[in-house]
Amino acid sequence: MYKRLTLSLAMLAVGAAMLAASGIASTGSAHKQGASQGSVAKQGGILKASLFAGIENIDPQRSYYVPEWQYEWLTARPLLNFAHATGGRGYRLLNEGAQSYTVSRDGKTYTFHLRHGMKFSNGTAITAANYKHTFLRVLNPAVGSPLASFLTDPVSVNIKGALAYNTTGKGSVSGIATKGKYTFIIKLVSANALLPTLVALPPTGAEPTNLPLTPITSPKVLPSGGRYYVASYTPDRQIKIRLNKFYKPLGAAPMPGNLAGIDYTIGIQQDQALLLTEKGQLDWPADGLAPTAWGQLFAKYGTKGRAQVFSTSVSDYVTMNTSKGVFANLAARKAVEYGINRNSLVKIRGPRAGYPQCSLLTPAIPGYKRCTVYPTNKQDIAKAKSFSKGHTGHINYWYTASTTGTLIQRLASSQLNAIGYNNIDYKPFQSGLFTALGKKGNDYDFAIVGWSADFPDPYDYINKLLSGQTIQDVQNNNTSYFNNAAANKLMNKAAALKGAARYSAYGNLDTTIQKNWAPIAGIDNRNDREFFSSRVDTKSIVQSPIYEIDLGKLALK
Amino acid sequence: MATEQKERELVGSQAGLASAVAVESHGEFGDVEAVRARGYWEQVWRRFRRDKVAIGSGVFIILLILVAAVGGPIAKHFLGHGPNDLNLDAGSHGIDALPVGPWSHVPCSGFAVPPAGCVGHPAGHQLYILGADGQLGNDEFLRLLYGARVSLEVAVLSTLGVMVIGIILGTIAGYYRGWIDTAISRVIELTMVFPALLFIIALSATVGPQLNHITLGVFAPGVITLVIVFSLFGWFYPARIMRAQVLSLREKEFVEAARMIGASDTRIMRSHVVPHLIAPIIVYSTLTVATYILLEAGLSFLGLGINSAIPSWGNLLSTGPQYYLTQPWLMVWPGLAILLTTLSFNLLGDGLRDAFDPRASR
Repeated sequence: MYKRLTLSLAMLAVGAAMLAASGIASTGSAHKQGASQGSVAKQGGILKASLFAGIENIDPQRSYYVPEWQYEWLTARPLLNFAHATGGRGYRLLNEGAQSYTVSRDGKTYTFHLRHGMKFSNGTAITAANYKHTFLRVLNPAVGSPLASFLTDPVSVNIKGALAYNTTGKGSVSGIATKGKYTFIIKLVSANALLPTLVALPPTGAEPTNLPLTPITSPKVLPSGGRYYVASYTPDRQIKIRLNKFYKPLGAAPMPGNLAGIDYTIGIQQDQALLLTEKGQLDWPADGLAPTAWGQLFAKYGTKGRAQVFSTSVSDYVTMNTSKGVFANLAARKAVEYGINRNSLVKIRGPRAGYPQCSLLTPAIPGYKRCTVYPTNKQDIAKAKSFSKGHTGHINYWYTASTTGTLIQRLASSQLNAIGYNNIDYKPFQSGLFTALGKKGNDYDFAIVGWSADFPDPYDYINKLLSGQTIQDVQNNNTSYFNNAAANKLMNKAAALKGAARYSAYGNLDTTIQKNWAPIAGIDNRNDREFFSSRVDTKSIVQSPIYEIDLGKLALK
Repeated sequence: MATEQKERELVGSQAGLASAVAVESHGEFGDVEAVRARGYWEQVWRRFRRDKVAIGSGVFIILLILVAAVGGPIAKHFLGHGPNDLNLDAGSHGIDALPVGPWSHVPCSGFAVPPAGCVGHPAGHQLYILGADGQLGNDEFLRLLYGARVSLEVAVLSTLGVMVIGIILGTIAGYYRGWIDTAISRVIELTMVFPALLFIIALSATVGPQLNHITLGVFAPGVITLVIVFSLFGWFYPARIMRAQVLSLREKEFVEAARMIGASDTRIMRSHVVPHLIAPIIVYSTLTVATYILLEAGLSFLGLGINSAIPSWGNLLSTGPQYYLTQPWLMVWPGLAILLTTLSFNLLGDGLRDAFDPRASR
């Protein structure tokens, strides 16, 4: 008996010694690696990136996730493009695939004159037929592109024949035409100045005409006309991006491309990604790190070196299902507005995570007005309880089961409990939460999601997320299923305005919707925090106001 | 002292057994005291009592049960806050934004909802004996105490489940033999090879949230789910043990005698066979409890067991790795609790096994 106990204690001591030894060894190797790094920047090299959740869509016309658009900004060659610049200059639209374009007097016809000599990464020429095929893929209902609703909006950009084609998938789109090899024409139902912005989005880049009018799920190679192309893709395992040797600016502002390529490894946990990046075995965790990582990183590296913070257009908010259940009632939604502690929901994401707000728009979007309708720094539990009284019930709370998502779920749950909502069922999602919320008729009641601007216009927030006229069977962005006639009318009216009047109308509308109907509860304007390995030249880390990190400008030392 | 010495002096080497007995029992020389017969359980207790390690383990387990039952609520009362009270200031403190360390006083203003100890004292502080458990700023010490209850509930109830199923099926298989034994043995083998972990993952992704609602008004959400799963996939081991024991016992004379006087098979199994299995039942139960404490911790660590909002040792362990370079004690406390509990149950089981076996050497 005593021998057994002695043996047990001896094994315990050996295990503890081995643990201590491995800790010392790993610290030592990290120090050695840091000391031997040089500081000479260079062209070329492969950036090693990681994605925890992978990507939802490799199909360029279906992609809608920030990491997907980050690399597609480099692989696509759309008609126009956002400038590779920081701040306000990053919102400028430049001619890309189109050498020039003209707009008819009535504002309904846009004629794009393409550059001659553009080529895909497989060497084939890019012509007007390729752009026509891209738009057909965007509008075809079988492909299911989220961009379709932007091009078929009766109150905004509505291409002739697009709505019917998007509904049935049959026939053709009369508003998309080609004239010869290098002229591409778009005709709108009514004039709208938003079209140039929409044709600058990555999913509108030229595509080979042999791409099917159905979703692409696992292509080996994806030819594209941009600076880079997808050289290799294995679902849930890896994506490899490489330089397109056939790319030529041909008079356009050259797309930056310091790196020879980017290798994404999918499935690396955030904690693991932190360790690998610190050791230099990974260069960049593309979808961020756990909240617990940032305090130590900022303390060690500051905010201007390997660890950096940028403001963004991202808005986090509570989406409540107004079409059924508890939150069909305005009082219950107002209870949430007063009951959630926005400050703590920001704080749980870690240091420099963002700023609490109760609006949907963010300071990066024209028209933003600071929301004062609901408390942002603390809760008003008494007022929340006055609204929730008699309006409690069962709630299905859907959330992303990442480290951050689970922490937010626990914190938000405690806040819901405090205002009288104790009957809550939870459904975790490893990925695809927004897609699941967007399926009409699902049984969710409460979720916390984030929205990043597709382009710098308040329409992309207010109309896209709150207009009842956008509700469809799947791929809904209006996940609160808010459909109020008076609100829809106000949104349509604002969408028809231009310039300062447009932005002012949207700013007021943001406040009006929150105050009168509260279909969503704004939480914060999220910052973008990035961490890179010692291999990356920190001077090359440039923020894009649209796509967060400009991968084209990144370089290795 | 002097009296005993005198007696020893008086007894010579030829005095014999009677005199030796007289000396030992302090009786008169010539009187032979009757040797008292000791029962089976008394002998077991006497053998067990000599094993100080097993006694110590038993005492630790009793204390653990007391702590699990009442320690948490008592500590909560005196500390003024509960295991689920969130304090973000405690969870993200200082320039490194790390959880506060042991023996920290956290401000009442940091609580999401002021606990009892802060009501009326908004500028006050609360003591966190072992610090905060992570970013949400729960009290590590209280979660350790309340976690003991959850871990023990799962382990004990699961043990009860597997032993009941294992005893019934093992006894039936061993007693009847023939095709019944064959059928039950095949079921045992199927259960052994079934990928339980995959089933648990599938369960938690599908009906897990509904099953977690079953609390019987007493248990934490998720406890009954785990107990059901562990019982369904863990009974095969005790069943095999019992089957082997019963195969031997059914050939004994007392079984044959009972059969001769007309006792039914059910009565024979219940009244004559199963009582002889008490020793292995008790021993394997203690060892099984230790196994399920580890299993529950492992599943909760993987996110498949008890929901992270409910304190359990596995959940505490799952948050520890995020801080292993800066605050390694966050892994040490729950790890030590699991280690000591598992070790105690194992040592107690070893002690009981030796106590029940009269042939075991010391």
